[in-house]
Amino acid sequence: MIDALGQPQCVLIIGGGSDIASALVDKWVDMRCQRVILAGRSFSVMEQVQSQLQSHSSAKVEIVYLDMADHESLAPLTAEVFERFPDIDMAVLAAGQLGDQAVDETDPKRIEQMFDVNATGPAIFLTACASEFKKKGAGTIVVLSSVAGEKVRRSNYVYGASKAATDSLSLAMSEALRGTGVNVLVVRPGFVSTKMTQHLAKAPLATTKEKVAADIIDALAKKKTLIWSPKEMRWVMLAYKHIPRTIARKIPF
Amino acid sequence: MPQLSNTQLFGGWGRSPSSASALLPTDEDPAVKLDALAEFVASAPDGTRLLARGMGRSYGDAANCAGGYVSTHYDFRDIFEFNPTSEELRASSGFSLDEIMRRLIPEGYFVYVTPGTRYVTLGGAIAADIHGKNHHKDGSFINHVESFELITPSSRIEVNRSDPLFWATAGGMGMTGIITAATIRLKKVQTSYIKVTTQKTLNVSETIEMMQRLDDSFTYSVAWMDSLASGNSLGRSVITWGEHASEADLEPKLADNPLSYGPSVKLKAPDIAPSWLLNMASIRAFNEAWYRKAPKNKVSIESIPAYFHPLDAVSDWNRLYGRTGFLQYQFQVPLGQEETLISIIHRFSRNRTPSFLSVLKRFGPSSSGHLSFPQPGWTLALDIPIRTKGLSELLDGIDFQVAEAGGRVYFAKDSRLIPELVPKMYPRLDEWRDVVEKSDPKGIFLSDLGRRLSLRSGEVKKASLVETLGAAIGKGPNL
Repeated sequence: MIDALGQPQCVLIIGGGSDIASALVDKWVDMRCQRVILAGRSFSVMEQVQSQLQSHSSAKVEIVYLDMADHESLAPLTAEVFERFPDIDMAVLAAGQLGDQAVDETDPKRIEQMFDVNATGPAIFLTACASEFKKKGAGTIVVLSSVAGEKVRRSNYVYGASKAATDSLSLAMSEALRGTGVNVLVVRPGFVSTKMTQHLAKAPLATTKEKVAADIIDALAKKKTLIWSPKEMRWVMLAYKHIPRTIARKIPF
Repeated sequence: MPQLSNTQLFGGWGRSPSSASALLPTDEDPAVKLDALAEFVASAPDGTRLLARGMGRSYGDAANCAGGYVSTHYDFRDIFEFNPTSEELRASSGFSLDEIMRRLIPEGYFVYVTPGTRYVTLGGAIAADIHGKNHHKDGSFINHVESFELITPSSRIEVNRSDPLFWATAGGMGMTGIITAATIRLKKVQTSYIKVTTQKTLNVSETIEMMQRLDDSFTYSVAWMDSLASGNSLGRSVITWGEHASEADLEPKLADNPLSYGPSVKLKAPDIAPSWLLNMASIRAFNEAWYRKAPKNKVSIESIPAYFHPLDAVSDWNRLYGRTGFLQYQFQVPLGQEETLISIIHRFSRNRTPSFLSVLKRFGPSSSGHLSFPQPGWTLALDIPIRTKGLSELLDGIDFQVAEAGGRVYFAKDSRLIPELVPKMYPRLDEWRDVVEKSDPKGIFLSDLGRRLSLRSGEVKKASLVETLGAAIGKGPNL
């Protein structure tokens, strides 16, 4: 059960290899978390996270297979995970694919795949997950979105649009779930220095996975439903969304 | 787990955390209602969870039952029979102490034990084995209970003081079954007034010294402490001792109607208070003003609501903490552990933990309830906004200090205790588990609190936090 300070005891991580998710779990197992279920496609990456966690905690760490691109099996597999681990009280959706705009533009297959993993899969998973938590009368879903999903930019519009779909869906789902005991927290990190972004130049207000994890823990205690990390990003994005397009074009990204 | 329809959200008084449950279906007809309920419980499919909920005054998740059924206090209101010869009241468990007082104070009878609010049910008072300002004299609520009726998965039975189930239920937080009615003893009083002796102290040492020296001369005793005071003023308090006033104590105006009793709700807190309303500055200002306005030493006559239930005058005062809510941390340490108590007060003060009116009380002997909270010693309760920075780490550290000193944290207030410390804080937990395992092997009566703290299962795992902090215990107050 999640306590008054938003700390979970049994968490399901989708995208078990994600840097932000593992930073988060690293902190949780030092608090109340007693069981972690890593779900994803790549066993080797998840096994690394597992042994890293077990090196400093006696929390149980499980690995299950879940593929955001396999839409047929996603809902039944989610139900199966909840049946196998009836104590799950928190789910973190951290699966995602960044893509490469220049290549994506030339390959419809890659565009399809991007939406499969970043939008369609999450829509199916989040809906299945919400329905499982509703049955239990309690639970929290953390969705790792992106500022790229808040305002889609010309420099990576395929990725941005796929994230925008999940961001919008999550916010509306959060409203739809009011009164059911299920809470949704949408997290919009700015530029985070992770393995997903190591090949890119650092953007302003860049943050680290540890800081994002700390912001998420703080937001859960305060029962927030939407945060930016770092929090200044909120005002940057607000300004960015409202400046006239003619001026926005002059911004180099 | 059977899927429920028509669920609604239930939370604790601290507004955090909450979960959804369905209302327990009950029959309107009092003649068949309880048998039908017993039948429903007996035939509940595997995985069903069920909990009797009172007025939701426990602060955390003690009255929550995620994905299960809850009954409410409206379900149990059929019996109310007072016998003046035996001074015993038989009442359905859904009646609140407020209702009992409204009906019986004018007749000259008072409840033996009342907590800081009248809005608790008879059933809830037994389940939490509540205590009041007279614990050092009269013990906890269960001391004044003759018997109660309990619906368990196997039966609907009257449980008396010789039954282990009686003691598992006192403090068992509703996890032994549904209490439907109880027989309690009442106290004869001459008036509805309390003769109050107020004493302001300069710091915690003086508070402790005065309570130790003078508590035994009074039926009621409590200290309101300024948790933000520091240095030489650390733990400065206003102690109020009370005694039931006799008719001779009353001024002529009051003596005309010595048993008059009509508490009123003067204010209602709005539901729109922002979470930052109660912050460091406003709470500090409040504590300061309240300490200053208290008389240095004075005897006065006060009404029962004014002395026992001052906060009840503001309906829904918990809303003032906003959406983020607050928690109450109430712990106790045994007699002889005054140093630990002071060191904990020091930690709260040093961390600048804002708390409205922290309450300090000296406990007398324990009851025989397996999980009953009070034991001889000191208890301190603080209301703390959830937004407080570093709250989680601070309270985790204090949990350890409390456990190490042989003390414990109160389940009725808890919403975040370290589960691994429960067996240390409640050494009779296994005894309780044995009794409950026999009466409810399928674990139907399991609250969110029970799940969060693994009260029913023996499984205790452990986070590295426990090892790290456990090793650091030796560092004492600087932990």
